[in-house]
Amino acid sequence: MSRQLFTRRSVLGAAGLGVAGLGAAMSPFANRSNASPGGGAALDPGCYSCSGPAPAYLRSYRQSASIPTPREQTLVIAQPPTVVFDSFNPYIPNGMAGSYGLDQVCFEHLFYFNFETGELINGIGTGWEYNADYTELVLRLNPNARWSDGTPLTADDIVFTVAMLQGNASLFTASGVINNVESATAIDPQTVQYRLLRANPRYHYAFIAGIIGAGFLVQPKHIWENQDPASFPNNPPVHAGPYVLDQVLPDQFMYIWRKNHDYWNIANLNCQPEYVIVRQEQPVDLEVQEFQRGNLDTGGPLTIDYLNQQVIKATDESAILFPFSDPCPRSLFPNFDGPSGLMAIPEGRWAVSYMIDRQVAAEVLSQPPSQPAKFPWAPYVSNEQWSVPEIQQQHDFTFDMNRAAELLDAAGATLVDGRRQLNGQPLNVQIITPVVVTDPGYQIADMLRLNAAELGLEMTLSSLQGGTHGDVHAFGDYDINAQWMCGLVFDPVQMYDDFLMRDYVPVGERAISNLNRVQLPEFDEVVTRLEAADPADPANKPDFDRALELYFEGLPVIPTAQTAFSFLYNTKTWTGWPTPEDRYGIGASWWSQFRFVIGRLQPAAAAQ
Amino acid sequence: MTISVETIEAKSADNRSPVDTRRKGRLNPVVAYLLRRLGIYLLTLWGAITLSFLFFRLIPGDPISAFVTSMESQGRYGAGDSSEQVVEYYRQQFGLDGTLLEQYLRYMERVVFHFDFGPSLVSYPTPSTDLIMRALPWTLGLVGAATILSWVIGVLLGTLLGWTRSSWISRWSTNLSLGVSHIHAYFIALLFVYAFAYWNPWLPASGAYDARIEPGWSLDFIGSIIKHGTLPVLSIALVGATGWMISTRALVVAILGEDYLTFAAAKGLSRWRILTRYVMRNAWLPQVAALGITLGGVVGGSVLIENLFRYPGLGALLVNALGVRDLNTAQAVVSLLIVFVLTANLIIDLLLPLLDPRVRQHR
Repeated sequence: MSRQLFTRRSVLGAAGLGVAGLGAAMSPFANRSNASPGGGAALDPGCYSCSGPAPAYLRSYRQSASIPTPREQTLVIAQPPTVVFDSFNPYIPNGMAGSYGLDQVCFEHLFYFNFETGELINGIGTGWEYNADYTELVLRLNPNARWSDGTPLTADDIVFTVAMLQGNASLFTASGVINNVESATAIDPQTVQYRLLRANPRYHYAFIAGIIGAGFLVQPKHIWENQDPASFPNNPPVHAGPYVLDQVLPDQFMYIWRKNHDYWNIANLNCQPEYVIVRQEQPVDLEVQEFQRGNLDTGGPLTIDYLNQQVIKATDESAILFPFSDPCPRSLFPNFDGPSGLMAIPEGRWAVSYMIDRQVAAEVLSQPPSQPAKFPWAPYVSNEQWSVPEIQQQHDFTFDMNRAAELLDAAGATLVDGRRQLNGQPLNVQIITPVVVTDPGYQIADMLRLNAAELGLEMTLSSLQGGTHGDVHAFGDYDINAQWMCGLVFDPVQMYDDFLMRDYVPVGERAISNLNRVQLPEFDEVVTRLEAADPADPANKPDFDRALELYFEGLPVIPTAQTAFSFLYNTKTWTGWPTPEDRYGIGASWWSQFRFVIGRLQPAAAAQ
Repeated sequence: MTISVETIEAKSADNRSPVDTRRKGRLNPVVAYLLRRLGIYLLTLWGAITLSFLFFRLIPGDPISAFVTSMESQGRYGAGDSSEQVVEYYRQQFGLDGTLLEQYLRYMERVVFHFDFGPSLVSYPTPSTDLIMRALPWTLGLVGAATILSWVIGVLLGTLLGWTRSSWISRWSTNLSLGVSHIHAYFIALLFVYAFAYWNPWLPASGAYDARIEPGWSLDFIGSIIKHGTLPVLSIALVGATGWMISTRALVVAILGEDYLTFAAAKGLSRWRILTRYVMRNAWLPQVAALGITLGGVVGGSVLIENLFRYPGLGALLVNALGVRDLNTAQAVVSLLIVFVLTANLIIDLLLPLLDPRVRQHR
């Protein structure tokens, strides 16, 4: 017995000593942690090949910065996982890892559109003109444009790319050409004449990199001709952007891009980082450490979540937090042919809208906090021309449960024994969403479900993942789809187009467009008229306003919250990032426009 | 009456029992055993691969349409691109056209005769087998090393714990092992990362090797792989070893009550000899079989550990493949897993008679 007591004592004593030792070990760590972030850059982060003894924190720094290029010359970006490391073909499924540098620094689009400033920036193209009836379009190219291998980029490349897409309907983005272009002809090396299949004042949208990239990407004829575009890996990629592929390290999940010093447009976009490394993101705990040690310059909002971003921002002076409005506001898509029947009735759709507390959705459920949606598009400077406050005020998106109850009654969804019925049948509105339960999109839909229950309206909310959601959505077996609404890049018709009756198919058949089976004849008529109208022509503005009015009346989609993303930028190695005060560019590190951010970066050492 | 030798031989031949006749037509027992095991192996392999095929094909929804739709929802492609023509084309490319039976026959023909699982959807048009071959060595190295290490440590320590079962060290160690064995290796890995990659910067926190070193048969590269593999291997091995310890201890404790040990002690054999020749050999036999099965499962990888350490193994590939419903790649990984598990079982079945005389006698 006494031996056992002694044993317990000794074990407890040992445990106590262990805890004390752990505490002691942590104590110096706290000091090191504070010293490290600031000290990393000052202690020559690029000295990756240094030898000899080094302080512990510096050893750690060097160990973690496992990149094969000098750190002080390298921009390091993290992106979500990919397994594509040997293909650079944008026309086939997963034929390229676009966000791993291709979109940002390798590809060169004809034009770029900056939502933040409303500015159109020339790329390969210098301009376009339509003929009077919008059946022909002339595209002009920059005479200096060259591919990365030095071959001049000319109208022949455009003509070749158009013909390649026309001849291969299975390629992604081919339908954009097949459905719109009759022919493309080179007038001279810098001029292409498009003959369109029908009047289309918006065909040039395909040339402009808006959200992520552009619909049309010119390819070098001398590389792609005699290749099967449905399987050509295009490795290494030859394009006209400011960087060329240096190497890919699949085992490191890493793409390394090297600055092209012969870049044809270097006078306008002279990027300072000699290398851009795009690597796969790690678990957030590790990325926080990587960021604090200066081994990571930026990543998407998923790389370091908003909570950790705030912690870093509060403790690290070299971190910049840059909020950015998602071009795709969180929205509810009512299925006009949904099984409950309630969404076919305008009062039913508006009742749903009144049941959403957008203030809570935007400021509590959304992280980072955003603003309630007022229009079915993001509040960019470029969208202000389409937002008519007078129309919006007549159809305000307010939270009003009494009004919702009145509208439900008006829709015939009567309350019987505490539960709403429609046509004598108990109502159960089925909500689907592709996002996980922790996503604000789910939580907004759940708030709707709970509020509806207060009015006796039963709702079921299901989070369906991947293809399962895609199928249920396309076949129409739901009442409300809680998702996000992308579409508007340049003018609202791009978004209204998703709700036209010409694309209507009954529930049970796979829908390609108009997935929520919208049937609004008058809205349809105005939008169809607008499709052939020049959005830049002031004479067409009344029709745009009328379409907005009809949108609010019919409510084919119910915006809830203007989602915001927050990006974290590291100034330990590079400065010149966009800030809340200087929103000069698109901050999303996976978008094509991110090249203009890279173009503004300066070495931190030089800044000091 | 005289009976000639020939007559006796003739009678003897006539008097052979039916059992003797049947025995003459029988194969050598060892060959028969091998054939039986091989037959069962092939039958199980076919059944398992067929079941996995059906399992993946019966998942509701069309992966191609879903992929195109998801591309659209991300704003990468326009809505018009999801034309039936595009979807049909890729259904054909991925072997998803035709009836289920047609798909199955084409699939088996490709797999059996060409070892071709078709193109991958996660990295089209790279063949699924190429992706797997790229990831397999890393997983075999990582999880294989961890499994063997955990087995060796676990079985050795488990034997000692069982042998000294009444000591306080054994009791405490058993309880500790029970606790640790229920912690996921991912959690241990996180602690290791903080302890040995950040608090004490001794080992790298991620990757399979240092990107600054050119891959090849150099000491630098091999050293880098070992250095980068240490934390993930130890994370898996620690949890795995405790499992082996507990099960081995239980086996040893059960054996300690056997009469033959009392008899061995009565004969005057040393404790060391009893432990090594009587206890260990009997206790380890089931563990060897279990190791075989576990090693077969090694190709499944360790999804969470590979993700945490950004290790380019099969686990990470499988997760990516399932994320986009890449049936070809997922099926290829699962088929490989089936082949490895069954083959490991087969090898153990064939080796067991060599290790355990009782198995030979029973046969």
